[in-house]
Amino acid sequence: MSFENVQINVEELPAVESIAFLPLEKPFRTIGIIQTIIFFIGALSLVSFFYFNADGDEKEYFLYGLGIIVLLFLLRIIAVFIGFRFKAYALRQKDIAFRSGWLFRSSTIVPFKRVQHCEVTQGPLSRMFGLARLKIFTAGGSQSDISIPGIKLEKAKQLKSFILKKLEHGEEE
Amino acid sequence: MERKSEFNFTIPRRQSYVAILIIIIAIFRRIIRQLWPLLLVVFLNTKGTGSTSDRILLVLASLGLISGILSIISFFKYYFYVDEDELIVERGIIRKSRTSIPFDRIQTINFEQELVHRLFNVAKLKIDTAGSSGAELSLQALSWPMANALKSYLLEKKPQNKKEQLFSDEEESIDEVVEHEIMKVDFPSLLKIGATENHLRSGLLIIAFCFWVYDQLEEVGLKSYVNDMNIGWQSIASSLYTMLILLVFFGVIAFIYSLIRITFKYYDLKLVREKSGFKVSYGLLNRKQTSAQDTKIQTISWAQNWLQKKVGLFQVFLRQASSKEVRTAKSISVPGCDQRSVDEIQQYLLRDTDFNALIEKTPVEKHYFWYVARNYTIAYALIAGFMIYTSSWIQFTAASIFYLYFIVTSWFRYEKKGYSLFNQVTAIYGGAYGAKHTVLENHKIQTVQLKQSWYQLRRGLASLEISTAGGNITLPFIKKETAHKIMNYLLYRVESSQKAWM
Repeated sequence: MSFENVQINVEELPAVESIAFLPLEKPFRTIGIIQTIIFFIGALSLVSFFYFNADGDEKEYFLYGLGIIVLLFLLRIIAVFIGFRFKAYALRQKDIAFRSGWLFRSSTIVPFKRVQHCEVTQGPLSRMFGLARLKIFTAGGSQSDISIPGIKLEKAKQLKSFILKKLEHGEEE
Repeated sequence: MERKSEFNFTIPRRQSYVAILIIIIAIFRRIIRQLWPLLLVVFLNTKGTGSTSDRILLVLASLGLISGILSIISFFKYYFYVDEDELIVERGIIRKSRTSIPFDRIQTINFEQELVHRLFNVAKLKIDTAGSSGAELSLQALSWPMANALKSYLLEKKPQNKKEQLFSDEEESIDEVVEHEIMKVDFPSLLKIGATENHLRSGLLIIAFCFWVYDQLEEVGLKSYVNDMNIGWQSIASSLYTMLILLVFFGVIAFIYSLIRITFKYYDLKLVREKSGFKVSYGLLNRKQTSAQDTKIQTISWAQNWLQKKVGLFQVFLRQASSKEVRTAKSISVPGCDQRSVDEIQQYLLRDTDFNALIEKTPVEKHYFWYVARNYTIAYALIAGFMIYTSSWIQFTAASIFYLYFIVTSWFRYEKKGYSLFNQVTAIYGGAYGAKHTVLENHKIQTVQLKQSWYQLRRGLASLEISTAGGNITLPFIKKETAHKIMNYLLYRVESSQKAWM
């Protein structure tokens, strides 16, 4: 192995700040909304079950409960819409990036070299829309792993095999 | 070298006979730990209903007997041997099971000796393996020479990663053949470690223990006994003077407890440099020997609290790569290191490192303090307002004291926080009243994460979180541009490095 010690110009390194992120598929937002609706229908039916079993005096408290549930529902729908805009991923030659969060933003970058394994998962709702989630695991623990939701199943599989290929290739170097 | 030929590990063999005794003791210990309140009732219950107590004792005795017999049988059905490049363990009375551990998956091999082990000169061998299952195999009792031979046999046979080989070729020649003792703790220094422990934590541990005992006694209906003893408390606590005496008394107890605990745990603590790793052994009754290979060590930290700072002692943590399940167990911690030992440990681990600083030691932004202070103030304002409203002045005073303490602490925490970036190493400095520093090699980084809260976003700040297989470090509240630059550089380092991270 030849010894090299070229000085690095930090300014000229590939810049994270200029990554062009790709948005998630639109149906992913729809899935989020459907999930929220299903959850709140469940919550509402639970509340109304108790409402019809309650005494007259207690009944007025349920109105407050109902109000809170509706408020939470609206907030959640807004969060789905805004959250969707900030979720995005990008592929570079040697790493994969994922960003998310509106009030608390985070962008994580995983070099292909450090990937332990990849997984493509699909819930029942995402199957209906042909979407999947790509999970990328590293040895850095769950906090640093990334999980990209809302990409087409085909694309997710492609990405997975792309990353695995990079991984094998990297090992030979 | 000759010693190894004494044992032929390809022949299936059993553990030392001492293992039977150890297993039985373990079973009894478990029974007593689970059922001690019940047993206490049985022994305390002298008046009347003697037959019930007898019956409970009988059941317990027969349970003990059955498990004893079972453990003896399972001992005779337990074999381990080496087959080509795997360590194999066969066990099971009715359902046979066979566990095989390929040598290349072995992470670390550690020894443990409880009092029984030491009496019979045997050791428990714990083998940690890589993999998501977090598999861990332990041989309960092997004779000391055999345990040593097996360890060196396994480590020798373990095939090295090709990439590692490439880099360790050079190191081989530099490596010391003999073991070198980095530090050894004698009795006076042991007392020093004990005296500078976190006594507050010891105190809380004692309180928690008392509550636990009380809870257990209550569960089996012994509360009346305890309540009888408790009668005096109310009147005593009413006087401030006695409260003070009580506090001092409690402090003394916590101090003594720290001393005793440290003496038992870290008696004869030794940190030894081996061929390509560290070995630490300690313990008065239960001795432990843990080792860490250089390649497995992901981060190096050294910390001291306020007291330890006064006497110049550090606790060193060498965090190893591990499967998720056994994360905490894989960190080697060595208390009572002085500055010289800390430097020496670093020199061993980072000896070929290029310490050309890209960013000299830099403090973080003052917003690191303001953000925390703002949150504390909001919380305090709400709580204090409520307390003034209800005229609970004692609580108000307490809340104010806590508030001041938190603010002062976060100020010190801000003042101590800093980082520096070298060609091959990232370092983070911290602490509030003491210090805690961490160093990691850039090529061992797994992922880099940039985080921005709303507060940070509006001020062009960010926190950079760097993950390794042995834990994370965070550079909090730095300028966004700086964070991007560091991120770019670290990613470049990881992606262009030929070195394996493990």
